Amino acid sequence: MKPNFWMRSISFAKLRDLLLLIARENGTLRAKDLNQLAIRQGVLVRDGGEPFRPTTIYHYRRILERLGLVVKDEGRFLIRSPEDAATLTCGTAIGEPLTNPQRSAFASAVVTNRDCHEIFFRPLLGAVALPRDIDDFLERAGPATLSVTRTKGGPPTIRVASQLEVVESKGEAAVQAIVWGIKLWCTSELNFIDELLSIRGAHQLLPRRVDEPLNPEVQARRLFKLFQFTNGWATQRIEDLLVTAAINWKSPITNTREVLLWILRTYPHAAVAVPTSEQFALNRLPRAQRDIALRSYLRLPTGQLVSHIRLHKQAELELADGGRAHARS
Amino acid sequence: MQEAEGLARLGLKYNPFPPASTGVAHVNDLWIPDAWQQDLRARYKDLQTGQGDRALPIVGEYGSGKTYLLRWMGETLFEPSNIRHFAFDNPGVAFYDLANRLLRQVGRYELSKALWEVVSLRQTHTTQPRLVDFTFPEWLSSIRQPSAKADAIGQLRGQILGLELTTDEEIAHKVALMVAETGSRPYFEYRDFVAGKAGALVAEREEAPYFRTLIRILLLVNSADGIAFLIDEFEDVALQRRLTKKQSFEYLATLRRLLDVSAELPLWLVVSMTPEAFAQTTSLDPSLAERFAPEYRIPPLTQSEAYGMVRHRVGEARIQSREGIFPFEEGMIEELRLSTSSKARPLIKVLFQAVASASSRGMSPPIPTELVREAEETVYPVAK
Repeated sequence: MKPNFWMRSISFAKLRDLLLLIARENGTLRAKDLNQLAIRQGVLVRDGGEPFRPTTIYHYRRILERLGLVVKDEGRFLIRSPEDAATLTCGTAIGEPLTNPQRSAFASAVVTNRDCHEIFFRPLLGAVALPRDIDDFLERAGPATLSVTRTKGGPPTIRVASQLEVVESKGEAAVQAIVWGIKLWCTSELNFIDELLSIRGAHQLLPRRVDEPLNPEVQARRLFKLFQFTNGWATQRIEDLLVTAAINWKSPITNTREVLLWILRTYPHAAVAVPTSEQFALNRLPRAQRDIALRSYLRLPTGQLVSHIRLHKQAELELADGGRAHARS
Repeated sequence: MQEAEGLARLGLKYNPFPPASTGVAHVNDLWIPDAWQQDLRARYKDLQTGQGDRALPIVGEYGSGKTYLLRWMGETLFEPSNIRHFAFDNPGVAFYDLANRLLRQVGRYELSKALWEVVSLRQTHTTQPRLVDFTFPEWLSSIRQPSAKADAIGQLRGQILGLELTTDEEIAHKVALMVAETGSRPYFEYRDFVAGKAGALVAEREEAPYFRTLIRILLLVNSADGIAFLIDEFEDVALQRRLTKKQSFEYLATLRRLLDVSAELPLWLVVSMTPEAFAQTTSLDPSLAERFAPEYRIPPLTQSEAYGMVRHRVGEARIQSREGIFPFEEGMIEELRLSTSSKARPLIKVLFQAVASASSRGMSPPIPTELVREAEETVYPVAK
C-alpha cells in the first residue's frame, strides 16, 4: 500500500477553531460554506486578516477528516464522535490558545491514526498494533531518531529509527510530511515528543508527558538515583540525564532542566556545574539547529553553558533529610 | 611596597596563589596528590610495557588541573625515562601542520645541525683536504655553489638511507634538502610541509612516512628513548582553526594514523580534554575512542588532598619554615564549600583573594577562616 503523506504545516489552535465551527453547525456545512464561515470568523486567516490560500484551507479540512475527527455525509461535514470531540469543542471559544487537555485530545487522534503510525510512530512503539490513545502511546513508546539524507541527483531519504524498528521513506513529499508530522505537530504544537540534537546530526525523539507538574524535590530525588558516587562525588552529563529522565519517567526535558538548575541553586556547596565552551558545543551548526543543540545543555544565570553536573553525596543526604539544603552555619 | 610589607607580616615572601590560576607560576617542583600520582604512574607503566598505540586521554573540567597534569607528566614521567616531550596547544589537522609545529619547536637550524653532526658529513666539494673539520656554518657556506650543494645533498641522502632513517629515496632526498638549504633559510615555513608544492620538504603523498622519518631523526639526534606529544585543551583545536566538529575529530584520527604508522616507534600521545569534548569524541568517532587507552579522569580533590596542595604552595612561599598550612588556620579547608575545595582553580582563586585581602588589611597571621569564607563568597557568590 502506498504511504499517504498528507501531514502539513498547520496550527492546531486553528484546527480546533475549525472543528468548533463544524460542531456549531453540525451536519449543515458543505466545504464551500465552511471555507466562507472560517474566513468570516477569522479562523483560517493570516495574522494580518488576509484569508489563507485555497490549498491551505483544503489541507485544514482534509487533516480534520484524516485524523478521524469529522466525516462527510453527502458533502456536509459532521463531527464523527461528539463524545470524543467534547474536549475540543466544549468550554472553549474561537481564538483561545490550545489547552493541555485539548493537546492531549489532538495527540490521541494523531497517535491512533494509521498513516501517522505507519510512517513515523512505528519505530517508537516497535509494534504494528495501534495505541488506544495518547496515554497508551506514552506507556509503550520509546526513543527514536529522525534523520534526513540528501544526495545529489537522487530523492532524499528520511529515516525514523529505533532499536526496535526502522522506517525509511523516500522523496520530498515524505520528508516534508514526516518533518511536519513529528517536528511541528508532535514536538512544537502538541508537546508529547521532545527533540534533542545528537552529535552525529540525527534528531533524538523522546516521548514525554504533555503536562507534567514541576515538583523539584520529588524529581531531584529521582534524578539523584542516576548518580553513581565514587569517593563522595559523581559526574553526569546533562544530555544523558535529560534522555534517561525522558525514557524512564517520560519527563519533559524543560522540567528536568529546571530541576537540575534547582539542584545547582539549592546545593551550591555540593553541586558543581561543569561548563563547556559554547563555541565548541555549537561549532558551525546551522542557525536553525543551534536552539535544538542548546537544549542538551543548561544555561546558568551567569550565561555559562553547562555540559555536566558534578554532585556530592551530601546533596542527596540533605534532600532525604528534610527536603531542603542546610544553610552552612 | 606596602603589599610586600603586608605579605611579610603574614610570613610570606609572595602570594603563593596566582590570581587567575592558569598555570604553574611560582611553583618550583610540581605537586599532585599521591592518589593521582599512583594511578598515573601505573597507567604509564602499563602503556610502557604494553604493545600497540600509546595514547592516553586526560579528561577533566576547566580548572581541574589538566595543563598542570600534562606538565607534571612531561617532567616527572617522560623526562626521567629519556622521552623527549613536546607540548602542542593548537596544531592543525594534517601531518604537515603537526610537522610544522613540531619542527618550529625544535628549530630547523638546530635539527639540521644535529643531524649533520650525527651523520658526520665533514667533507664536501673542496679543492683540497682540510686539517680542521668544518663547523656547520662553514659547511653551509662551502655548499653555496649549485654543484657543491648537489654533491652534498647526494652524500646526505646516502647517509640518511644508511642510517635507516627511511627506506624511501624521495624522503631521504627531501630531508637532505632540508639540511642543505638551512643556510639560505634557517627556519621552517608552513609551505615547506605542503606536500607537492614547489620547494616543499614533504615527499608527495608520503606525509606519514615523512613524519615517521622526522620522529626517527628526533630520536637519533636527541638520543631519546621516546617522543611524547602533549596536546592540551583538545576542544580548542576546533575553535582556533575554524574547523567543523567533524574536521576536528579527523585531526585526532590523523594522530591515530600517526600512531599506526609509528607502531614500531616509541611515540606517545597524551590529549587533555573536557568531559564534553571526550563525550563528543566517543560519540562521533567510537573507533578512535576505542583505540585510546582507557581515559584518565581527573578526580575531584578530597579535603586532605586540597590541604596537601595548600600546604605545598604556602610551604614554598613562607619566609620561615613552619608546619601545616600557616598562615591559614588549621581546619580552614573543611570550612570551605565542597564545590570550592574539590577543584584546584576555585580553591586557588579563593585563597589568592584571602591572602591579598589579609595582606592589604595589614593582618597578622593566622588568616582567620572567616576571611577565607568571605573571599569565597566574593569570588563565587551563591545565587539567591
